[in-house]
Amino acid sequence: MMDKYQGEKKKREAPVAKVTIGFLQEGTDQESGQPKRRRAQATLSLLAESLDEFGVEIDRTLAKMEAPSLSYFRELIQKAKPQIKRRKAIETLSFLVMALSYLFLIGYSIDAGYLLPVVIFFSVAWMFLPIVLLFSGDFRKERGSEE
Amino acid sequence: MKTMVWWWYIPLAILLLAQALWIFFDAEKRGENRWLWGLLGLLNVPSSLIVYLLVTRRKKW
Repeated sequence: MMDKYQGEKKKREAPVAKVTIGFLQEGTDQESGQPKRRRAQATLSLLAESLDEFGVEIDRTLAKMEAPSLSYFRELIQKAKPQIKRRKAIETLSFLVMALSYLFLIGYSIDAGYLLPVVIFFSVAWMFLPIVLLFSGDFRKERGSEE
Repeated sequence: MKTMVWWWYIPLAILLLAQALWIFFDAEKRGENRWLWGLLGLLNVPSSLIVYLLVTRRKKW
């Protein structure tokens, strides 16, 4: 059992030694005169030992814990299903209400003689909404892949 | 002139609403931002739908 942990410890140590931190890569430290990169690596290797110990502790604790049965997870999903359905229905209804009020407001504004503000609003929205949509999607995907 | 505008507005509003709702549901299925896409679908017809289809289906091409 201990050999397994030793092996895992060695596996973890290897990537830590290769860690480079962008802002510490170049230049020397003014206080000690050592290259910043070397100093950062020394600090990280010190941290690595305690982190490994912590990791082993977590592994041991997790090994002792019993995983809940499949029926438990099934029950959880069954319980969550009606809530999800209700939330979706509320969301759809609120979108419908919002869309109807928006269309009514646009129609009413045109009828009341506010054609120019409506045109300006449409131009601004048509220009910026696709940009917001495209960038928000990419940003979310980038964050997701980083995490 | 006023009545003519209103007559034109009703089918246009129905079309916009149908388009926005379809985009809203489809974006939900695809895991996209459904509220923003739905709002885009309310702006005009059919360029919003074309933009939506181009953006969401481009991975398959």
